[in-house]
Amino acid sequence: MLTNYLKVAFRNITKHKLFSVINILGLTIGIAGTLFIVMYIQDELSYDRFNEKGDRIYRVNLHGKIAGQEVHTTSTAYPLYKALVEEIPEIEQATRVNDMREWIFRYEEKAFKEDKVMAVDSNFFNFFSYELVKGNPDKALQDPNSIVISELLAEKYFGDENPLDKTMAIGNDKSSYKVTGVFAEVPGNSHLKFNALLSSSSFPWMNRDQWLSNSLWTYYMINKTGNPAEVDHKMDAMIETHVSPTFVEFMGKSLAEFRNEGGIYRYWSIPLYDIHLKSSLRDEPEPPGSMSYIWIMTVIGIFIMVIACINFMNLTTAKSAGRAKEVGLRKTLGSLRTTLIGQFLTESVAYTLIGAVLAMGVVYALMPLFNEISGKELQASQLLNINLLGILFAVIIFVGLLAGSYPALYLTSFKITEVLKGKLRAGMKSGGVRSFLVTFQFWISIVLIICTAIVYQQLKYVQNQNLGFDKDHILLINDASRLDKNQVAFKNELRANTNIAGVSYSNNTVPGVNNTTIFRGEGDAADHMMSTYYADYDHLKALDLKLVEGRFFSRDFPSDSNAVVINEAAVREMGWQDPLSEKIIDFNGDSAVSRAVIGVVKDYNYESLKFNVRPLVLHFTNTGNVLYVRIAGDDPGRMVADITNAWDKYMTGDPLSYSFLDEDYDALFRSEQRLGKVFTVFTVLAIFIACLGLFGLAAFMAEQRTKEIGIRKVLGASVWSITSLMSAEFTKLVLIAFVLAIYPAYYVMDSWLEGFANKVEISYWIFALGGLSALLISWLTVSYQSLKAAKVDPVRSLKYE
Amino acid sequence: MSMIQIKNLQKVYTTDEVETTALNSINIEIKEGEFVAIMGPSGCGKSTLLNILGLLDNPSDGEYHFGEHEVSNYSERQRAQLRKGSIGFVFQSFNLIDELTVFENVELPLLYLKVPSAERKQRVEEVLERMNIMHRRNHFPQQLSGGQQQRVAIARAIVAKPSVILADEPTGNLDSANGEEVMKLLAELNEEGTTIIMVTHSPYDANYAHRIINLFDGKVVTENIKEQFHI
Repeated sequence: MLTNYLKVAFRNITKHKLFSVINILGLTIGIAGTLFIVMYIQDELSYDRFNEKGDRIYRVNLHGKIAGQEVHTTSTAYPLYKALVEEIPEIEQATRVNDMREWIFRYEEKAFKEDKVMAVDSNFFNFFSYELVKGNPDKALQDPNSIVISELLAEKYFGDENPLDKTMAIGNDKSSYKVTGVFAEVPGNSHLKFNALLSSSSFPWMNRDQWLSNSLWTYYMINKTGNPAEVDHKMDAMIETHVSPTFVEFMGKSLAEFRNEGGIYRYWSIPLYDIHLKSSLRDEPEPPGSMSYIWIMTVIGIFIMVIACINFMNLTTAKSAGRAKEVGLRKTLGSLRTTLIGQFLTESVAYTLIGAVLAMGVVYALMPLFNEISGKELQASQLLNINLLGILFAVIIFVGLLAGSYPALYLTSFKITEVLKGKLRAGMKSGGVRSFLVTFQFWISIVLIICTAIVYQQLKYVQNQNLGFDKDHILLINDASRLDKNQVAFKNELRANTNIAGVSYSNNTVPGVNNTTIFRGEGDAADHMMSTYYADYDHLKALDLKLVEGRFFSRDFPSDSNAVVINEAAVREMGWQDPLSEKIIDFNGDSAVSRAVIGVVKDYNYESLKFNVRPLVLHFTNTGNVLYVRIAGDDPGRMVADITNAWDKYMTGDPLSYSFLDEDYDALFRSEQRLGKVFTVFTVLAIFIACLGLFGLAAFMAEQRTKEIGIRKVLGASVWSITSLMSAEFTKLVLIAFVLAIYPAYYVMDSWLEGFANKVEISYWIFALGGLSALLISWLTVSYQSLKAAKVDPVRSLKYE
Repeated sequence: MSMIQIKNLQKVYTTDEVETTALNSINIEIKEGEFVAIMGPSGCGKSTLLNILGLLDNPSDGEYHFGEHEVSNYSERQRAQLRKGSIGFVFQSFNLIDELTVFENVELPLLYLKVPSAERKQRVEEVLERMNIMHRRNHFPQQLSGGQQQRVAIARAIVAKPSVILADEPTGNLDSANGEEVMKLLAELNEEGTTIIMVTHSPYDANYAHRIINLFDGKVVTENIKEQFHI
């Protein structure tokens, strides 16, 4: 009997080619979209799970509340790892990772700047499960000046040679490092990503017994019976033993006093597996994913599948006239309704199966494109992953049954006596269900259109929002200290170039700030947490900052080297009326220093538009590791060449590396931009599938109303009036969908915008846009069928009846 | 022995406001092996009667004995069960499934009766041979002439060896030559013992029957043994 069903199904597919193509296309796109989403989510959920002992690995984080400011960071103190192992028995081992960012690597004639360099402890390869392809995992990182590099770097510097025991010159001072190992490329789903690892023993300062300086990541592995909550508890005690003694020295008060004033200083643990999706801490190795995006993706995936299913339902019922006779006949021959339902479900599962097979092909072909949009590194081979195939199988069954359910119930409800007589229309009163389904499809589409529009509006808004300075045309060299004693000469050379509007040294790379610390106003006992960095005389000009009061650091006032410039937020924080008459107590150096406030700059966003501008104190420096160069000419390409030439004069053979500030700012919104793109892709898919469904439905309605149209035409109706009559039906449904979509779309986007300090107002025209585009799309889709029906010769349409 | 016996049969259709009596106090007895024609003007209730006789529909009231079964209150499931082994249908518009070949169409009732594959093949081939349509076994219905399609439909009606064949204007869509052929086939089947009940407009076709039942406005008006007409 199954063969009989499949035969009929297959012959129906080939017989109604257009409908089958539309039907299968809808399912294919729906399943392909879902597959992509499943793979995306699988990848997100698989972060760090390649670590064999990952379920017992935790990372220590720091929660502090100092001078009223909350700090949640991943950075911890140098000696913590040792104390963890020595003082907490259930901890088997601990290891540290220190992000060293970018270094110049040299081997023979080759010199390149490499990023993602990290200094790690010797047990790194035993702790985590990164694969070492060459070298001994126990010993590779033991000795000082050992380096373990990626296969890619090995190839780049050593070609076919064996890199082991070769010596590389690393960093500005060209320290010698011996290559002691080569690791396989770090998996894309690792929260730590690195190109080279240096042994921590190479850096004596990493072994300083300094508990209040938090700057590296500490991980620990607990034994099988250990409990991380217990560890957190024991770390509290550890703070008493180790941090308390130095607290007075650095903070000017005891830990107890600090706590009495509402201060918080404690370590806590996060499971390794949770880092990627559940951490929202500062100083993560890479921008974390987010559980809420996972949910959004899941919902979109389900939406798309549901639209494809509805599509199938509508199209199948649209063609039911052709199947009614078969149903009647099979019933006459003794088939039960349940058997017939089984037949139609088999058929829809068969359809879904075809769609799924095609979808696999589509996913395979579009994988590179999807990776580019989503920023993932998915492999085509993952398609054959047993879990994915399992999910795919479940999807086929689920979609097959869901999509087939309504047609099966509907088709088998025909009364034999009526279908066999050809009285089909009498038994086909399912308009309510169909209207509901179409409305639902449009509801989804309109919600997606509105959300996508708002995501884009917000992205555009934050990217074009006034930062308070001009981020365009600024070139950034962030390891300028390599110039050493030539720093000033290099700067002067650039200043002399007429196409360069400003050159400024600083110790800080915006966007971002690496020092937030405590200040006091002179004669005021209250602590104030403010960010601070160092900049030279030309900072104002180079960044095009606006001065509100006073003046910036000036060569004309030698005493300025001891003064500070603050921003408006700092004025508000301090509560000053006349800031230029005030002094700031600075605890940054060896002892507290009082510094005069000589100027106030207009707030500029030196971190990210995700946050509001925080109070800032600018100190003076003459040189720094970071150089900002504002290009004035309209030929940035030539200017880069000029700057490179000037650099090479001082640093022959030492490549210049630079970035552009506007791109660095844009990069802050990469995950949102990706979300925007992913949203767009899936919205377009959803609408496209919905339109396929609508097209089918329009055909169905046209078919159903043939007689009515014929009579109307005989009575003198024009083609136009009939076309609008047909469209009116759908217009009504789209409008209902639109009204129902407004609130959910508003609610979802309002919650999303909560995450931004600077956000667009959700304006009413966005909703109008969503509704109108859905309306327009539906009209375009329906008009073809309506026109076709309206143009039929009434003699023919009446005969049909 | 009586094959079908109905007593005081009523069929009332109710729409929102109107109640239409399609069949009113019908009493009919049809004996095993009889060939009965049902005649009457359009709308007299012929098809309604045939649907009830064929267990496609239930009466509103009255008794219906099919063989030993009292079926007037049978559920859909029970009717389907009884129908598939004992009643064969022939329609005016043939009602073949367009997506199935001649062979597959004829095979269908046996599939529902769960006849094993080898036996199915043998029985289908037998009836196709008998209907002289074997050479078209792999064709689809649209590729056949009307006469051929009706022969396939008859083959399908008899392949399960039913005790009764219900034919609803079997020659209505055929030319006279093909119509004649179909009638001869039905008569032949009747001679072999199959009970045949046929609705028709054609007095010529009715001639093949032993007995003609005339319906008018849902009532039996005359029920004659053909000989009384001396045709």
